[in-house]
Amino acid sequence: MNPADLLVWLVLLPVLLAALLFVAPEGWRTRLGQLGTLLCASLALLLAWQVLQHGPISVALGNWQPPLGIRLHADGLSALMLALTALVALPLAAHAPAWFVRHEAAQSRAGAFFWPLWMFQWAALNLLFLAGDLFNAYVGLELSGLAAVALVALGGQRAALEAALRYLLLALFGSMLYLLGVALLYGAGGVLDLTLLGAQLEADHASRAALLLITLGLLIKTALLPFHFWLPAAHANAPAPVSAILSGLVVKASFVLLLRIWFEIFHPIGLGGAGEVLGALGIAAIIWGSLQAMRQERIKLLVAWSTVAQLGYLFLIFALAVELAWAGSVLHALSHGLAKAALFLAAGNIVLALGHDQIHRLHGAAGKLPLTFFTVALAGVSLMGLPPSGGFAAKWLMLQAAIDLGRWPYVVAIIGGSLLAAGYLFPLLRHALAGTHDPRQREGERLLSRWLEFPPLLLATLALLLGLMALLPMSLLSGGMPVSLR
Amino acid sequence: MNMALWFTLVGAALAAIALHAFFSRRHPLRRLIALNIMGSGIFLVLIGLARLYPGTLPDPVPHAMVLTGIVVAVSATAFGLVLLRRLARLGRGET
Amino acid sequence: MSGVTLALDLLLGLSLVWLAWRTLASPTLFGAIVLFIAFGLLMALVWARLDAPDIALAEAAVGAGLTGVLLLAALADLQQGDNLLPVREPLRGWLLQLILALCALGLFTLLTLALLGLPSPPPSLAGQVLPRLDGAGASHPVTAVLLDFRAWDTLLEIAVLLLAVVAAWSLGSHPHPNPRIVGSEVLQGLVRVLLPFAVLSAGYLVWRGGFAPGGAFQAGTVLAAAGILLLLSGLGRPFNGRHWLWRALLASGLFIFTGVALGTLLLGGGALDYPAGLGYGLILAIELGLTLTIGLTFIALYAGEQDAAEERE
Repeated sequence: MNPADLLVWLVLLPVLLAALLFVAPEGWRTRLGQLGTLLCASLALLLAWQVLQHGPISVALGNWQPPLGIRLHADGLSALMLALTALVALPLAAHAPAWFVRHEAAQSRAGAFFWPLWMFQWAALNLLFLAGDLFNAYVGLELSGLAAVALVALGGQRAALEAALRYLLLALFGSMLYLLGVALLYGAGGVLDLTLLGAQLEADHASRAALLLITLGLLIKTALLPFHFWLPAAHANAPAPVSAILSGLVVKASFVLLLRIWFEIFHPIGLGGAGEVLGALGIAAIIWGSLQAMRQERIKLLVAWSTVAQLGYLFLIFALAVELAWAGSVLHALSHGLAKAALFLAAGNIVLALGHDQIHRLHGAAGKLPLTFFTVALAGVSLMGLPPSGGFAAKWLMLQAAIDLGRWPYVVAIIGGSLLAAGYLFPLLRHALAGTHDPRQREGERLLSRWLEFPPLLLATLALLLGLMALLPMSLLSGGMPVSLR
Repeated sequence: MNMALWFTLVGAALAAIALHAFFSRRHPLRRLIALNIMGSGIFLVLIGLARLYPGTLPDPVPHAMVLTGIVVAVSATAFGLVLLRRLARLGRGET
Repeated sequence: MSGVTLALDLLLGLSLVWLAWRTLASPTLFGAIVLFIAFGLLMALVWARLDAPDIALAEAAVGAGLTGVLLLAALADLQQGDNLLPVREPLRGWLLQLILALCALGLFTLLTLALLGLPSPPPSLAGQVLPRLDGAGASHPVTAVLLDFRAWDTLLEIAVLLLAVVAAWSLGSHPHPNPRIVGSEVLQGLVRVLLPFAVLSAGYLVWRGGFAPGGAFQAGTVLAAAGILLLLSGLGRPFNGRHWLWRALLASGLFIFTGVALGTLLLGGGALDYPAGLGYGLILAIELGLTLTIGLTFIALYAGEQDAAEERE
């Protein structure tokens, strides 16, 4: 297959599968979904391999070159994010069916509708990672947002539906701000292609207003503090496989788009002060998210607040605009994606097995579920940034960048963030390891099948291995580094 | 001032009013309406820009973008309303 | 520009802003919806004034018509008894109110400065589109952009449309939204007369879209209106989502579109690069598929999925 065709297939195959999964009888959906996952994931990994071998790949759809037509573009960043999505999707395809069968509280139809909705989400994620056109990315944002809201609502209970409604309203509002910014950019430049816009943008009122509106819109979707308020309820009340998708992947898609827009379009008009603001918000998110995570009583809420904190790291790149920090930021997106997906799936397993997710009632649960709590610990190593995990490599790179630039508040925040992560993860493990079983609890406890326990373990292991193999993503990234980085 | 520029400013006013209503109104149905009006304002900016100067040819690309935007907006609104109704039924104790 | 048209444009713009304000400030939900429909109709007038007939048609049909019907149907459902909706806390304190007002004012100022500062004449893609219309599958510029130059956007938009139905149905079935006017022979008679005309005019709009304003979106909405009338009159029944055939029909537009995209890719020409001479036919096929899908989707979003069992009650 022509490597450029892979880009088109990566979007169209999940779209086609989503439609097929909707039409297929409910009994067929799991098998068809698993088969489709295998296909889509292979294509994504194949594309990443092609980009590693031959460098960035572009395709003009309908053979209409920009500015008239729409371009898809796969560089190192896209390849890594596509590969991350595939690596999360594969274990998820084994875990999700087992989880939906076991979880009585979710309606029976939740398991059947999970597949088409997740395929739509996958198509939207791939599109956003490949998008080379601002308006096309808008359609991708809406596809991703609607699918995410519907996936949250699969939780079925009142809390899940309320979180979904709030998520929907804010996601739509974010898209509106983004579209308004795109409209102004089109007025100023007359093109929608990212690269072409970057080449001709001038520092006028319209482009400054567009930068502000687009950034605000995407910050709402990425849930950077102070726009994080919708995230904990939505991520914590969704079914566990959905939480893994939302925290691990969906918030990263709007972040990648923001990264591209800042470093590929707006770099000529100077990022200066605005970048400092985003960096400072990132630090604030690390601190506030971690403090909130420490206060939580429920495991899933703790994990969701930890996402708020970990997303903060991603934004340090806007203040530390150098190549090292860029690599660190992308590596952090990858390692957090894997570790957080593992953690949410493990948290879902704990809820299934114990029938509750109260942290202070975990006494000795690790004895009952050794594999699941081992997964929690393994994912925790990466979130805390301990060697040899991917989280360590990412934070190390960012730390080096901050030291090179002499930005001491950032040095303190990066190191302090790891300590804070330990502050909310250790109590969880301490409760699970210490103490004796509560005899009354035993009746409700059930052993978990290997389909439930091994997929999160695999994800946590991958997050750990990422640190040992950090050179592979680095060599992918080195080809597509934005010219605007110092 | 030309006619198209006037309507882009009207679009800007619509977006600003809708922004205010989105954050100050309480009922989710009203907030959905506010989002729709904000969308109309943005579409107006796009189309106004497409023919900002008399005598130049109208640009069909923003027209296509707005048509796409209208369909996306109605899809999102429709789903939002179904979600709202589901919540209301849950609140009434039905299933 | 003569003084009279200038005055009319000023009046039209001001009434639009005023109507939006009234809609958003309306004391009752019902009032807000009715004003919103009026707002949509006025928007259609503005689109016509801005030489955007395609958008005027879509706005009147989708923006005002369909969204209005959906809002009214939802309101009828919401007003049955106490439903404990998650209504947000009202903004307390004058400081918050002031900040919000400043935000809105700030947005308006930001946009005004940006719009007034745009280059003249504005850069645009018109010069790119118009010379290439001969090579495209449609001679109407907007249709050529939608289904040829930027067909990728349109394909994904159809995916969003199907996603809305999948998402709505994932929430479970909900009862038919409106009290049926079954037995009203006048309405039934009217629907019987109107139905063939609706189908005919939908077909006409699709065919016309190739060279003039019109196309699948407008045609699909006409079909949807006919379908909704059919439901209201009691002649038609909401379709049963449990049957795969209905689901396949809803997805057919997306199947045709992705089929064409992957077909052209496999034939070696590149996705959505229509082979010479086939462009017109392929675009017409896509548009017919889209018309059916759009019509059915809008009906599905209005009526919701219904189990056959519930229908009999």
